[in-house]
Amino acid sequence: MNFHGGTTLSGTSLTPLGLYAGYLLMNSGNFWVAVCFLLLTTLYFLIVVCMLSRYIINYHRNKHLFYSHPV
Amino acid sequence: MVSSSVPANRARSPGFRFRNFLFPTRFTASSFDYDAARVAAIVPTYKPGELTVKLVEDLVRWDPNISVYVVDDHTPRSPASASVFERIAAVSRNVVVLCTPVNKMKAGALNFALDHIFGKSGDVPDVILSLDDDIVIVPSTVRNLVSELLSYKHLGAVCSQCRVLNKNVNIFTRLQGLEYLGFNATRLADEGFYRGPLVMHGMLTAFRTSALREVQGFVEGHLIEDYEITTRLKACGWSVKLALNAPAWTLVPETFGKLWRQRTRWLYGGITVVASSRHLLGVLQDLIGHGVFFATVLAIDLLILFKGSGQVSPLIAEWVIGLSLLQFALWYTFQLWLMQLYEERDWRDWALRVSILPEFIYSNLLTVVQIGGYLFLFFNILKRASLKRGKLSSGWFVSLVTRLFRACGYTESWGTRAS
Repeated sequence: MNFHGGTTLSGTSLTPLGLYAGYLLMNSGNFWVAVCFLLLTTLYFLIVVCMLSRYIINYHRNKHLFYSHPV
Repeated sequence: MVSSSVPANRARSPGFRFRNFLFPTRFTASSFDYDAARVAAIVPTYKPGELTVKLVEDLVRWDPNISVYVVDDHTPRSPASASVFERIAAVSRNVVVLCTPVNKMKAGALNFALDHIFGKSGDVPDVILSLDDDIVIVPSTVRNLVSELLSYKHLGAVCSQCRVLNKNVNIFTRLQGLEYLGFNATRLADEGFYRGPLVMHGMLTAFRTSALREVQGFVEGHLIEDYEITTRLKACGWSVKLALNAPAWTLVPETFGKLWRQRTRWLYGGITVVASSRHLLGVLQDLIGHGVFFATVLAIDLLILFKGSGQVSPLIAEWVIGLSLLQFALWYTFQLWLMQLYEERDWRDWALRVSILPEFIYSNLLTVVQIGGYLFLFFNILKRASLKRGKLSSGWFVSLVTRLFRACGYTESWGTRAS
């Protein structure tokens, strides 16, 4: 899915890349590279959670503005 | 000279706070008299059409005190174009048509109008709007945009919501409609996060005049002058935000070729802004995006390269897969929830979103454009380094690769309105 961290669409490919990395790790892999990848996946998950948290808070603060204009 | 209706003292924008990743800062609005605020709108245009005439008419009809500066960016003379400019000039006494001596592209045309406004004797406006010439607004758009900007002393610019006027044309325009819904959501999420959203888009943004003066206008010749000026506003301590109650509609590319060309400009332009930025916090969201992407690709390369002894705990692999799936589920749920805010939606938009695949292909296609942008940047850095050292012996090779990139839509030199 689209993840717009700005003008970057980099997050777009991260879910399939994460799944691919998981598949690679299932077969074989270097322990430290595997740990690094786990940390990276966790970091990316936290970035998404933080973005959603900010959205939810700002949505509730500005909810009254959403439908205040005639289209 | 700033009018008395506007708070004279500029509030200091908060600096970086780690807690803002989760909890955005909330600001208190101050009151002001909208009717006393002086507002000017700059509409750069090249070969204007009916939408431009309608936009100028709407601006004047709904905000009678507004001054509108339509900048003809050296449109080739023809009876048809002359007639359009005559109609625009005849809309109101508040409409001024300026003409650039040569084609200056959008940033140049905006600066041309700014020079005219600041050079005039008399009052300088409190707020200056920059608008694309092919947008549609509603009666409340400008009022809400200006109100939002002048209600908060720390804001240097406020942008409109961006929506798609021609979203029903084909699958590309529908996908862009869904994508723009995401742009608005991201901008809302970034309110109160460091100094606000990454880009105050060129489609319709209201600038505080003092902020615009402080950053000395737009940089000419840049691929995306709107992102560039936003980073400079933030570097000067201004914050920016989205005005949720100020919608505007724009025309998006209807063919794959035009869409590709637009996105090569946006994405390569975005990379150049980050690469040349001296104030890295101003491009924080992009730094995170680029950083995570590169780190992931690097980690996968290492995984392939160092296969190891196969003694990695399956638990690690399960966690990686589990977190990836959880993140996907969260994001997908959010995308479905966002549909309730998409007022123009119909069953086809729902079908596109629910089925995932079209958006998945579309966004991965944009990732390909992004990777092309990285390669183009790398090539240009090498080219300049070679030129500096006077070692450009294989000029034919550079020329060939440049032509290849150009054929793929990547150039360094075009402005906002390439013909």
